[in-house]
Amino acid sequence: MSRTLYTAVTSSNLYISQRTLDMTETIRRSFLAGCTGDLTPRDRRNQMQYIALLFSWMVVYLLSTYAIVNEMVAAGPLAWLVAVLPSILAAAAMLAYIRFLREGDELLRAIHLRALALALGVGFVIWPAYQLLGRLGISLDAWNDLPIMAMIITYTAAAVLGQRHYA
Amino acid sequence: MKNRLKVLRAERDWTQADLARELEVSRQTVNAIENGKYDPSLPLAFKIAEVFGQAIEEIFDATSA
Repeated sequence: MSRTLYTAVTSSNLYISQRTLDMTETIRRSFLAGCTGDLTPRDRRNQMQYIALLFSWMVVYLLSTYAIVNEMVAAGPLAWLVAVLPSILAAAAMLAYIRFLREGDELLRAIHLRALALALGVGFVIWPAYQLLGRLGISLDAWNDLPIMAMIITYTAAAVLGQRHYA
Repeated sequence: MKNRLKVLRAERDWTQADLARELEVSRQTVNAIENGKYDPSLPLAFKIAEVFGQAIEEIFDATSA
């Protein structure tokens, strides 16, 4: 291979490698932006706080339900604590989420508020239909959590799509 | 709304991340404003004007909204 050709091939390979690296970085950034957004350190810290509290609430709620259903706690102060603890954690998570929105980057706040509004709208659409179908005798017992699940899914999807739109 | 953010940033040789740090917002917000996908709030518009040392109307073109 002549030196000129060798140089051309090597340069071309280097160019392709660099392009591949650039594309990989672009894809990585797009993916991260689509999932979590490009958070400022303060937003990331606030987000971690409310996610940790939500996770704690979920775990404690499941444990409390398990303990109560299996009659593992006798009636008394301990039973009250087991029953109320998930609500305390839920309130803490809610306050952490409010702080996340209040202190958050303004675009992030707009995306999440739109997602909340959409989720609330879905709730308003589904909830009455769900109630009326129940009154008509169309049993939806197996779909007890449908309205709340629909709202959670809508919120999550809207937040992720919002992040992707502005990424 | 059209704006001159990208030009002003390029003149100073700043990246979007640099500007985002100055404005205390995310890089995503700077990118969205530059591309006209998002119009900043009034306080943020004032902050942008302050960072670039120009009046708001010299950076943002309200007629293109």
